[in-house]
Order: sequence, then structure tokens, then C-alpha cells
Amino acid sequence: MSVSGLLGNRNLKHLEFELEPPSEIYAGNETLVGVKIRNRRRRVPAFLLDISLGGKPACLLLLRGGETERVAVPATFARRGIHKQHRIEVTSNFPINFFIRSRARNLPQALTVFPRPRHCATIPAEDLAGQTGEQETNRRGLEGEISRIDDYRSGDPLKMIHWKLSARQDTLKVKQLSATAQPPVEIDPLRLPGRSIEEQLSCACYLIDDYIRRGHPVGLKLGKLVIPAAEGRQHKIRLLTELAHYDQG
Amino acid sequence: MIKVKSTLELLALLCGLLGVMPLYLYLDPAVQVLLPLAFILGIIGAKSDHYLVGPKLATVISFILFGLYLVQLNLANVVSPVVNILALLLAIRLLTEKSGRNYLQIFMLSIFCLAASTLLTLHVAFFPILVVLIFLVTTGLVLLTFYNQDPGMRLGKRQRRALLGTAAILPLGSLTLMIFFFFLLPRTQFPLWNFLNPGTTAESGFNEKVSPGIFANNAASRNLAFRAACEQLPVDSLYWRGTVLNRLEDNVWTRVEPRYESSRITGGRQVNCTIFLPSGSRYLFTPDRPLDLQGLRTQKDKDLVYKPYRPQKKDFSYEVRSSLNSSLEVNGRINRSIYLALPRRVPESIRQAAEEIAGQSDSPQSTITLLEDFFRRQNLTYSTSNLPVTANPLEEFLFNDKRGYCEYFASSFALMLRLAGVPSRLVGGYHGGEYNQLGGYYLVTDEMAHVWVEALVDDEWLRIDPSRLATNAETTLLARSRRPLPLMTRVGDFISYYWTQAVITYDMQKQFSTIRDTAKTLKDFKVEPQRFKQPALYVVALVAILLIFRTLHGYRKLSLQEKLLNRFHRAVRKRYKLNEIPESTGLLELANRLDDDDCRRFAELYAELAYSRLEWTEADKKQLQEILKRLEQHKPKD
Repeated sequence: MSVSGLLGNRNLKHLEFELEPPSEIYAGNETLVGVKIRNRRRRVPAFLLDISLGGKPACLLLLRGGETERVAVPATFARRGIHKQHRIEVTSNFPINFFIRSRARNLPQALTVFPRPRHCATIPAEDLAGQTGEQETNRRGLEGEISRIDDYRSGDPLKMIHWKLSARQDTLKVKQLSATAQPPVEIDPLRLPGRSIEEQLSCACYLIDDYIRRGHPVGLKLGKLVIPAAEGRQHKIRLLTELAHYDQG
Repeated sequence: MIKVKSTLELLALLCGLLGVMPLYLYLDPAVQVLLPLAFILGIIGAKSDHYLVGPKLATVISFILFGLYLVQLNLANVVSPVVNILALLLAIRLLTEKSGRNYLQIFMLSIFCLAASTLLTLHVAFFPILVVLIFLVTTGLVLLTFYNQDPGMRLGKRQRRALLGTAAILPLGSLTLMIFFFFLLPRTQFPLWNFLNPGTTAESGFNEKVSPGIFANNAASRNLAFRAACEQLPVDSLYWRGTVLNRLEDNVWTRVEPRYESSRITGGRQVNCTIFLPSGSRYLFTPDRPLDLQGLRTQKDKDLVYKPYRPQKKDFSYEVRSSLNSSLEVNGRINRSIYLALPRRVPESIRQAAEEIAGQSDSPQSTITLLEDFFRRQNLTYSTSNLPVTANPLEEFLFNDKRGYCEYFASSFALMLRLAGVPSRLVGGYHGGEYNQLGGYYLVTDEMAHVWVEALVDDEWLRIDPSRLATNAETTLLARSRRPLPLMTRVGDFISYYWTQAVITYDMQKQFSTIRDTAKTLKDFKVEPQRFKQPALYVVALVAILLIFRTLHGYRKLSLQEKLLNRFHRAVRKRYKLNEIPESTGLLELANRLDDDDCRRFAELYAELAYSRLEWTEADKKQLQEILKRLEQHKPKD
């Protein structure tokens, strides 16, 4: 018993943790947070580590001496904003399943949690912007009209191959479609329906995600802050980060 | 990848096997049959994943068998039902499909079985089995933890190695602690097990009465009678005195405790001996003749017979001081009539022969000589088999069959001495002994049991061994003590000897003396640098050898390419006074950065060889080595 206690105690020692959060964390939604664990012992491995961030644990079977492993730990953050302190708990029943030993560690690491996306009554894009209808752009896309025929280049999707034309010629030909463009929208959370600012932010979060997904350039007006409409994931994250930080002092 | 469950299955079988092994011979015949069957069915079940007995049926069978043995249980019969129940429970567990809990039960039952075996035997095999079992059980428990996490878990080779490496700490630590606690934990003065485990009196070659002619064969085994730790003694002096038989009635020699006599030992060579006797011995054996006996409460009779004050329930030891080949003189009065008493019926032929000798003799000493001559003339042979079973075994022995073992020789010799008027008695004990050089002790086995005669001549008891008068004494009786035991038996006995000394006879008294000695050593401990000089040198040498071995071993494991690269790095570091070359720096990059032609040549050639060809030719190696040699010869740059 004493030897197993000693081994079990050593098993949880000299471990270093670092969070590797996903790029998007929404309040109230369970997400998998990457945890990087390093075994600072040169030779002695660690076994059967159950790592949790206040929720269900993730198990790491073996961590060799001096090595680093990653596990995805389910976690739920209750509120939006910047989370600076995290309590990570490691438990293990190694070496003998008579006792479970645990060790908690506070991890200072800043994480931005976006507001919880709340489906609010669909607000048509025209209510949020002046323009309506689809607009074609000069960029290549996958949904618009055929703009021209081009030679096949590596990486082109197979469905774009113009088989009839390719059959007539010696080389593979692909259809080039123009990308359809959606009208830009501007979201002002404070004008959105909701009983509280949190509900309004949740609604804004949902709308930003929804419009960006549908290809609209999205802008944000939040008090004095105005962010011009743009597309892309990076832009979405920028907008959501602003929502997350709003009114956080 | 191997399934954790398969390994657990194997460990459970091995543990079960080790646990019941020491018990097996003591189990009921039915259980002896059931056990191997359960093992075989368990193996088949594990292989095919189809078990004959389901968990519910197994529980019902367990309860029935438990009940059956429970009714047999009473204060006088505890051990047998308990060991049978344990073995049966283990057998049933092996038969059925196993969950994590069942594996745990098997491990525990195996340990209980082994522990229960100590109620029946204290054989030295217990210790190695215990060590192996601890290793297997602890490994099994660790694997069980993994199994409980996920019953379908598989472990790769590297994972297994890492796991077993760490898991090995568990049994090693446990065994170290076990040894520590063995010496330290308080123990009772009497073994607790004894009420469950009454001392079994083994059939021995040594008898408390001598009655030749009862058995046709006297094939004593080579079982241990006792061990005697002392210096090596002359073969002719190896007479171990046990008892004295002084009354002869109807061809049976028995003992009557002599009351009014005293004697003293003079002369001879003194030896000190520690005798280790198995439990239950009623007589204490001593090198003939004993001066005094220490280390045990004893009862000493006037004729140098020692007996334990109370029967010893476990193996025990005592120290004895003896005087070899000494004279035993009667000191004061002695009741000669005891030693001259004759049985009611004495065969006429023996009586006539004795009277004839007495007629020719003018002194007790000459009677002995004449009697010895008579024995020689009879051409008696020493034999232990196919002896006639008759009403007059001594007559048959002396005049007809002329074959017999020590009891025949001694009985007839002593009887004839008495007939011729010389007081005599028989001494029972052992003759000979196998000296174990390894342990410095005599191993005396049952087949060395012996009887000789003591005759009272001029107030002195003379030792006479009539068996030596056999025509084949040189090849049988004397050769017996000179015949060496097989090497394995000697080594086995040596281990068993230390097991008895260190474990079985380790009682409260020894525990106190161990603690006292340790305390004394610590108290008297003085730091004398001189005393540590030599050990320190040994330690340094050992560490140096280990380091060299490790370096060489590590170096040998490197491939030629790695060795050359290491050499190149060393040379570059030395020449350019670099502390370290980052691992991310490529060979060509390094050579370019250093702007050194030799380095560049080495890097280009090495890269070409490493990336273009599979096999390196001797010429390639030589070329690289030459560049390296040049690099190494350069002086460090400022």
C-alpha cells in the first residue's frame, strides 16, 4: 500500500500544463480545449492521467519521461469575456485501483470566450443593409455562372472539370465560375431584440456567424466602435472578440 | 499490440499455479483432480472465449463446496478444510469468465493459498514462490487498473515496457519493506500457527528403542535428521550421541533413567557445535561425549543423555561443547546390576559362546578383545535388506544368516558382554555426516542413524562399535558417511539451512538480540577514515567500470554514420570553440557558415553518401575518416 501510494504520488508530480484553446469558444457551449502536458522527469513515465477542466475528464494513457503529449479536454465556460485563470485537475488511479489521487493546478492563461450564440428571430439582410439581391464579383467561386473555361490545374475540384470539352480536346478543361456576392450587413447589437445586453450580444453573435457563413460581408457598430463590413473567418473572430470584450471594463 | 485482458489472463493462471503448488500434495484427492481440470478448462475458455461455467452457476457451486467443507470444520480440524476451500474457490474462479473483480479475487486467493501452505509446510521453496508471486500479483494489479479504465485496451511494445519498468518498483519496494518488517514486527514467543499445525513427528532412522529382527528391511531415507555447525571433524569421531538404552527385555532394548550414578569426562579434544534440530525431537544430539549444552532449557541424565525440557514445536537450535574421543569415568558408585541384567530367555548358542569367551578371559578388557575376535570369526556382514524375521533374531544373525545392521551388531555384542560379566549398554544416535563446506556444517540424515555399545571396564565406559567388525564395514557402514551427497542436494540443503536459521527459527529472542546488536553497532560506530578507504576505492572502481560500460554500450549502439557525425561535431566544436551546435543546424549549413574547406568537403561527401547510396563502401568511410583526421589535427582558431 505504501509503495503504491508513493508511486501514485510520484505519478502526478513534475507535470507541466499548457492550454491550447480552439480559435472559437462560445460561452455555455461545451468545447474541446487542447491541453499540452509535459513530463519534466527525464526517465520516469506518468500513467493513466485523467485531466479535467471542471467537466468530463480526458484520459492520457502514458506520458514518457521528458515527452509532451496533447489531449482534448471537454470544457464549458459559463460567461463571455476574458478568462485569465483556469483550474486544471489531474487524477489518476495508477498504480493500483484502490485509491484515486488527484492534484489541482491553477493555470494563468488568457482565453477569450465569445458570447453564447442565441438564435434570434431572423432579421432579413435588407433590414441590416441598403442593398438587396446577389451580386456577381470578379473573383472565382463555386456557385455563380460560368465565367470562362480554363486548363485544369492541380487542386481544382473534380466537379469543375468540363468533361465534354475535355473529351474533345487532349487536355482537361475546367469551368471557371464566378463567385456570387452577398450584400454587406452591419450589425448593431444594441438595436437587436433582447431583454438584456447579454441577450443582445448573444443574438449579435449568432447573426455574425450566420451572415458570414452565408457569404455576407458583415460590419459591426458597437457604441462608438465601428468596424467596416468584411468577410472571412479572421474578420468574424475579430467581430466576436469585440462582442466578448464589450463592457468588460 | 497485446490486449491487457490476455496478459491478465496469463498472470491469473500463473498466480493460481504458484499459489496452489505448495498446497497441492496436502489437498483432498477430489480437489487434486479438480484443480488441474480447472486450469485446463480455464485456459481453453480464455483461448476460445467460451466458458463452461457461467458466473451464476459458479457462485452456486462455490456456496455448495464452501458449505461441504464448513461442516467439517472444527477446532481439531481447521487446516485441511480451509486449504481445500481456498483451492476450490480458486479453481472455480479460474473456470469462469472473469471481470476485473474476478481477477482481483484470483490474485488474492493465490496469496491466501500460499499463506495457507505455511500451515502445512515450512519448506524453503515458500520464499522464492512468494517473491515470484508478489511480482506477478503486483504486475497484475497494475494491469488491472488499466483494464478497469477500458476492458478492450491494448498496449504496444513500448507502452508495455514503460509500464512494466515502473510497475517493477512495486514488488521491489514491497519485498524490501517485507524484509524490513520481518525483522522488526513484534512476534510472539510461540508461533501462533502451532495450535492449527501440530508438529508432525517424522518417521526417523533414530529410534527410542532397539529391537532387531522386527523388520526385514531397514531402509532409512536420506531425510534431514539434524544439522551441526562446527569445524570439520575426523570421520572416526563422528558419533552423535542421542540416547542410552540400558534395559534388555525380550529382545528389545529400552531406557530406564539411571538414578544413582555419576561420571566425568576426561581428556579428548574439545569442540563447540551448534545443532539445528527439527521440531518435535525428543532427544538432543551431541557429538559424543557432551560436556555441556547451552541455549535451551534441558534435562540432563546421568548417562549424558540430554532431553528438551518441553517438546519444541518448531525447529530449534542449541550450542554444545563436547570432548571427542574422551574417557568417561564413573565417578562414585554405580548400579552395575542394571547393566548386567539379562532377558528372561537367552538363546543357548549365544549363552554358550559368551561363557566360552568368559572362560578364556582374565579381564573385562580381554573379554572385549575375545568377543571382537569372535565377531570377526563369524564373518558377519552388514546388511539392511532381506533379513530374516524370526523369534531369535540375534541367534539367527550370529550363527545362521550372519547378516544384519547396526542394531544386530550392537544388541548381540552388548548381550554377550553382559553374559560374560561385563556391564554394557547401547548408545543410540547417528554416525557420520556430510560436511557442507559452503555453510560449514554437518548434514546428518536418517540413514546415518546408528547404535553402538558402551562397556564398563575398570570404571570407565568404553565406546565399542561392533558394526565395524562386519566383513564389509569398509564398503557399507563407513563408506556411507563418506559417500557425498549430489551437488544439487548439497546446495539445496545449504539454502534450506540458512532459511531455517534466518526465518524459521527467528523468534522473539533472536529479534531482541538483532535489535540489541544493531543498537550496539550504531552506538560504537566511529568514523575512521582508514576503515572506509578500501570500500571507497571499490565503490569508485565499480562506478568507473559502470560508466565505461555504459559509454561503450551506448557508443556501440550508434551506427557508423552517427559515429562519424559525432566525431565531426566534436572536431568542429574543438576547432571553432563552439559550446554547442544546435540540432536544427544542417551539416551543409554549418560548413558554409564556418567557411572551412575541410568541413565543406566532409559535409558534401557525407550528404551525398547519406542520401544517394544505400551501402557505404570502405573507400567512402576511409575518405571521410581522412577528412576528419585533418580536421582534428587543426589547432583551435582564435
